[in-house]
Amino acid sequence: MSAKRTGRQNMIILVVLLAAQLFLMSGSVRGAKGAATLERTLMRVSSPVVSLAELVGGTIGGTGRTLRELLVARARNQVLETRVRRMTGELRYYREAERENRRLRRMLEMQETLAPRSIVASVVISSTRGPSRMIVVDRGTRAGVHKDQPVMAWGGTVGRVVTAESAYSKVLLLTDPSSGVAGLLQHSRAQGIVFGTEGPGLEMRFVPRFSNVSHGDRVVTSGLAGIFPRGIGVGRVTSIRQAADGTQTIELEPELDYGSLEEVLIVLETAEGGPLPHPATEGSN
Amino acid sequence: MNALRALLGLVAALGLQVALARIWPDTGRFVSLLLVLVVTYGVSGSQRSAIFMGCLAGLLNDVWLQAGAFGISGFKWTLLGWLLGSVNMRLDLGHTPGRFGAGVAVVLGDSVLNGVLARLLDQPNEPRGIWILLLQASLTGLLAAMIGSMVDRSKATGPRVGAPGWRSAG
Repeated sequence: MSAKRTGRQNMIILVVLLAAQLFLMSGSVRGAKGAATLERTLMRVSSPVVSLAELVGGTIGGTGRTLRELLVARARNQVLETRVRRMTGELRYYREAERENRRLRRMLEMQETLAPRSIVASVVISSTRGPSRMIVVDRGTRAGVHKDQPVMAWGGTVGRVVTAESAYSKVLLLTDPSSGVAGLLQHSRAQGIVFGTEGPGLEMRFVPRFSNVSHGDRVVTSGLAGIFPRGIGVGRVTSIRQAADGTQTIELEPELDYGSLEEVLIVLETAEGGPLPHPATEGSN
Repeated sequence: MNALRALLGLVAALGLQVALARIWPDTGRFVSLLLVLVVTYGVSGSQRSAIFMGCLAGLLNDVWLQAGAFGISGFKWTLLGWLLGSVNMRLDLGHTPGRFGAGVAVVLGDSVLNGVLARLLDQPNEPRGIWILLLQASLTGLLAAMIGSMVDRSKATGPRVGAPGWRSAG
């Protein structure tokens, strides 16, 4: 009996609510004031809940988005870093190739100008400090190399071949204390012999006493000994002193950095050509 | 006490729905937590509480979560709450399959009612795609079943009223 009554009451409530909402709906569609007022009231009452939820949701959503963006940025950064590393490696390789290309072009130029019968060799062992100063190059008797042939590089004289095997040759550097070459002061034309020293520099001895020598003067090979072609750079004057025998001894700074030699030119047969272009005027390697 | 609990439920469902929409804007397409609340009340409360819950949840939905005529969700969900309450009185839906089925049925019923009312009121109505509708129905059923079993567990001091093993004091 009670359940029946409750059911009837529920039905009445349902009908009332549905009728009210039907009224609201039609009012809302027609733009009636009452429906809008009720909607606004309900909105005002429940707005704190929505504001709080928006704040919480916005914070969580914002944090999530930031995290996602960070992850994306990190992944992109890794990709870019890899690309930069690869490109840096490529750039280094191309720069090295470009330097090598420039060096070889100069070698070729030098070969064409000074020694048409010469070959380019790469330095495989370099010992430019210590008591014995020499380099080993990858060309030997098979390529026509033999003892006492002059060896040059862009900018100056390197030394001469002291030992030649079939595939390798040993070159005594000009800076070795036991080596010597006939030199000529380019400005005053005074002659002397250039020797290696215990230190890093060179020494030009037996220069006539009254020769006009100044600091910075350039010394080149004179070609008199018949080994080196004439006019190849040897060094620059750094100091002058009078020797006991009445001649002048001049200290020179070598024109070449022997420690950084990579390719050299072995002159198989000397020819009288024009003077070797100086690196200071043609650009350094 | 029951009214306060219902109010808290409404506040929680509305708040969660709005917060979720801020995190994932598509949430509203797939699930309505206010409708889940109506289903929960329909299968576990009295018929009257289901009617009132449908009315209030629908009106809140109209105010905040839909742009059509004000009162349309209120009308639909009041009716669905009553229907669910009636069915629950005859067939006990207070178990997981019952709750899931009720959730699915309510979403489908809501869709049908929406079309009918839109036609009656001459309002534009774009029907939801079948897959979206099925997904929404499944999610609603799933959530109703989960919430129902959580409520059951929290009340688990003895056998559920009407369930096997329950004995009337009389």
